[in-house]
Amino acid sequence: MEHSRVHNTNNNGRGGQPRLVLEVEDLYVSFGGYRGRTRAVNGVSFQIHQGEILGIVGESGCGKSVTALSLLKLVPMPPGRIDGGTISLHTDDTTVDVTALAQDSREIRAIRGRQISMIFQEPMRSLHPMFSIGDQIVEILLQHFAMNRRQALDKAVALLERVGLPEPARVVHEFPHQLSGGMRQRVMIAIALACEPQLLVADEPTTALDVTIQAQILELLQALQAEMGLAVMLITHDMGVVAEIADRVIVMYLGEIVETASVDQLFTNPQHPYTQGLLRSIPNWTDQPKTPLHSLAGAVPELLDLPAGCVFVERCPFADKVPGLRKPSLIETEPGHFVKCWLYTEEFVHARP
Amino acid sequence: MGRAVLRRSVQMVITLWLVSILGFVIIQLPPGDFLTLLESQLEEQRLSSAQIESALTGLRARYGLDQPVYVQYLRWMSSLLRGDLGYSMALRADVNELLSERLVLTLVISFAAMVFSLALALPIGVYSAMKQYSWADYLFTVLGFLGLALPNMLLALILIFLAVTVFNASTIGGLFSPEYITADWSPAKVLDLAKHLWLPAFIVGFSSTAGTIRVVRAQMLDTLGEPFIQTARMKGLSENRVITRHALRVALNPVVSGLGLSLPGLISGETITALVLGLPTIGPLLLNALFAEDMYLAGSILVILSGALVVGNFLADLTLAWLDPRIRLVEP
Amino acid sequence: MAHPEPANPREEAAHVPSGKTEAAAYSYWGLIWWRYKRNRIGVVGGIALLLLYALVLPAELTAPYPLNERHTGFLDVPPQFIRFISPDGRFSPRPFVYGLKQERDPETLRRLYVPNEEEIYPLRLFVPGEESWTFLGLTWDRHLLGVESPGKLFLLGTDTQGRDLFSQLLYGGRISLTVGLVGVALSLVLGGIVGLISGYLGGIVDDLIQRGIEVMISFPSIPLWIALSAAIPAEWNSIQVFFGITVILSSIGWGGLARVVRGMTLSLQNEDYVKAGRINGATTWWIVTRHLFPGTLSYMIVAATLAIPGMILGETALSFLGLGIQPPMVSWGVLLKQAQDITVLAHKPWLIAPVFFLTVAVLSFNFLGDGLRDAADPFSGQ
Repeated sequence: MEHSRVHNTNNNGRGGQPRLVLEVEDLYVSFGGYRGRTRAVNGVSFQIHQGEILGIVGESGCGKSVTALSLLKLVPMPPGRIDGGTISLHTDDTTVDVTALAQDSREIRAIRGRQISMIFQEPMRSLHPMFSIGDQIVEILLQHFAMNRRQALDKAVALLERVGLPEPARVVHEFPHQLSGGMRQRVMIAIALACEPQLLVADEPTTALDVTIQAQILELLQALQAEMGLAVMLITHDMGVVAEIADRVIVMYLGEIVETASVDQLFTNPQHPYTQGLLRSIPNWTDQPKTPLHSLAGAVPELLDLPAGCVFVERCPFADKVPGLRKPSLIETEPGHFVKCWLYTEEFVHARP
Repeated sequence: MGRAVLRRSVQMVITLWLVSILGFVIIQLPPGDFLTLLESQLEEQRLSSAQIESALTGLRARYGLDQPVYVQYLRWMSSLLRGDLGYSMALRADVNELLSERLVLTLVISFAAMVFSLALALPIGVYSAMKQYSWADYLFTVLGFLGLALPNMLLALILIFLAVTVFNASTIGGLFSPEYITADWSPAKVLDLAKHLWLPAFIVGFSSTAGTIRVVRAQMLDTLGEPFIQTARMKGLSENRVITRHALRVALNPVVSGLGLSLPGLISGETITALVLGLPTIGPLLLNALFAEDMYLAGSILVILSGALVVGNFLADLTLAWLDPRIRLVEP
Repeated sequence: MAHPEPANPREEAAHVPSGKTEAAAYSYWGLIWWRYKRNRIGVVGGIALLLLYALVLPAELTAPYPLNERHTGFLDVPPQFIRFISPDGRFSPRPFVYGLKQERDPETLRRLYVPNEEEIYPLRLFVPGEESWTFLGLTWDRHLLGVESPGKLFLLGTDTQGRDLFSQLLYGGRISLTVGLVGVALSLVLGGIVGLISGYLGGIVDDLIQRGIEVMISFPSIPLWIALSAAIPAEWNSIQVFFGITVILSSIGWGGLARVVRGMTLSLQNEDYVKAGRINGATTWWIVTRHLFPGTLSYMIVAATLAIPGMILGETALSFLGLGIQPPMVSWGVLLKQAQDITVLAHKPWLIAPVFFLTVAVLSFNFLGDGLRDAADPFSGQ
């Protein structure tokens, strides 16, 4: 990491477009169950560039995590199944379609932890309870690099220091249950970044942590990202987290992308009624005291019960003014700002408030 | 770790002591005086009154029967601890001689049953978990329920039944070929034992195999759903390595701690199986001692068996602590 | 890029049960019952047990012959087949059995019974027996199923003394299946009280009780049962022996139950409603009877159900060894004693029948217990 290989060789020069790391096109993922197949991800497309933090927000069950797991082909199959689409990972010299790789194949395993890493929601349970911290970092290093145990252990200590753990030489011999939640998440980050991947997928990395620890972990992620020129895909349901560190945001609802924009665009000009609802439900200290907190009407329908047309039709305040039973397509309303809503077509502009 | 072991050892000694007290209570339970009964028995055997008197005096002195109860207990315990069980008038044999070989065979069978049941249950349990809801999984579930409902005694009876009705066998069971039964121990005899061991081991181990399959399967399913398994996969490890190094390590914990707890069941099952199959182990000896109303022998057998169990449990706990840093490192 | 076939998700979801929130409307016990009913295997176990008990409890009525009645001249008769096709090949709507005739095996000269196709005895319901019986104050002379004299109905054959095995099985089942119930009831009372005390008082009392239970559990049960049953005085009559055996069986069984209750009590004590009661000055008696006891009851019932098979099998083992139930009382273990010998089994394989009944009973109790456990667990997620 000292020589920041990724940073130097892969940025196509100053001012040029950052290098494309990952491209997801029209991804469909479903799960089989005794009541029929559940469509968890429905035609999702997006790109992630080097040095970028992409936030993915949405309520639980909207397909964020399944999308993330698909990138590493970690969706349990069966019952899961990728029904269509491609996930193209661009490395220095080649492009690989992850969806085409078998789940336990050598090819996908060479990507996991080496090109794309992932950290999970519950640091308490994401580390193996019976292996020492050192062993868990050493394991991923030995998996991908030709080095001996001694070198790997030294590197593990360096990594622990890098993620801000005090006394790394001692921590390396400790076990997860001896560390606090925040420290464990730092260890997870050390594991994930041990092999200097291009992309880090962080699935609700701060949800299970205290608020003060949350801020520290986010700062750490931001610092490491800048330092290593890493691409980060940050999955969260917390608009505050997105506002704090993301560059670009994707809003998902029921397995579909309903809006995508830069973080500034999204917060100054939220367009999809769902995004608007989400933003309005954040408490604001400038509000009058005792203003009731806004909450979205209704609940997320079950994925088995997907509406046929627009996914948001059942909870949309404008549903009676648009043909909600037909599916709208993603429309670019300003440069880089896309929304999937009838209200932004010329035909239904008049229905907007 | 040292302090935890010490604590656990003290606990074990206390348990052993309580076990011996319970054993002594059982000795004292049957109504009537042990010696009067023996006297009448000896008279039936037409021994001279002098012989009878000397035998009785010997026993009285040995067990301190004319002294207070606590002295009787101490004498009995000290002889037990010295490993000297004396001579059973009722069975007319040296108890040490009677017991040692049978005890070893009992432990060998129980241990073989345990090994057999683990060797079978681990791969099946893991396979069932990996292929949840496959036809093989259902088959093993059904087998598991059968194991629950068919304790050793019934299983032994059914096997005998099948042997005579389907295979027209005239004998079943036994631990040795006829030519080795009375022979001294030799490598050939051990080999012969090994050849005969599988049937009793199967019968004794069957129900615990079924139980262990269920535990292993459930544990594997739980563990495979844990986020740290995702972490292991995320690292790029092969599925084989994820299962054997990461999942099994955690899933096996309750199995190991269950081993200590399954011991009483195994020994218990061995006794009854030995009685049905007529094996030369502790079970028939215990029954003979009881029928001959030699409560001292019966009580000693019970305490020795339970003592072996308590020690076995202790060892299982140590193994567990050695396997699991969460227990190893946390001083309670 | 190929799009996946647009299957209509609404169609797939069409058969979702409508009453998803049905569970919310039930009381605690109602909820357990509702969840139990949805567990198919558990229900099968429950129904099988109901049938079994209905068959063995009124054995005087359901058994074709009275207990220990010897049919002289019909020793070691193999089971009779119930037939629907008459000798001339026609279907007979009323099932019947053939009479029996004695023959000798030409080689071994053993006595054999073969069906006599000239005698046909139709099966009848409520056939009058030779003597009237009294059960629970009711006196009658009929038996549920039988054939008219001089025909004999030996569904599972007879033993060496000419006793009908099926009748013996029903009478024996009454003993075997009640031993389990009475034994569990005893250990439930004992284990419940000790467990509540241990969990509620905690401290040194709890320590002592737990050590004691550990000791009891570390004994291998069958040898201990055998040793204890030797303490039953020889002069006791069969009813006294029956109760002696149940006491012995439950003397070990209560330890496990006490542990369950103690664990539940400990966790319940940390519940807010128990703490609230204590802060508000509720007496110990109030907390135990109003909170702890009802809170642990469902778990006690589950643990008890799962303990019954062990007791039934314990009685069987003891009786099988001749240390349990004594004649003239019979139990499944007593009946199995006849099947101990390999040569006996070779000639009279039908004597193995009690094993089948035992297996069904034990399996049913396990199914029922599993079903109840899942139903009583508030986190079973249904």
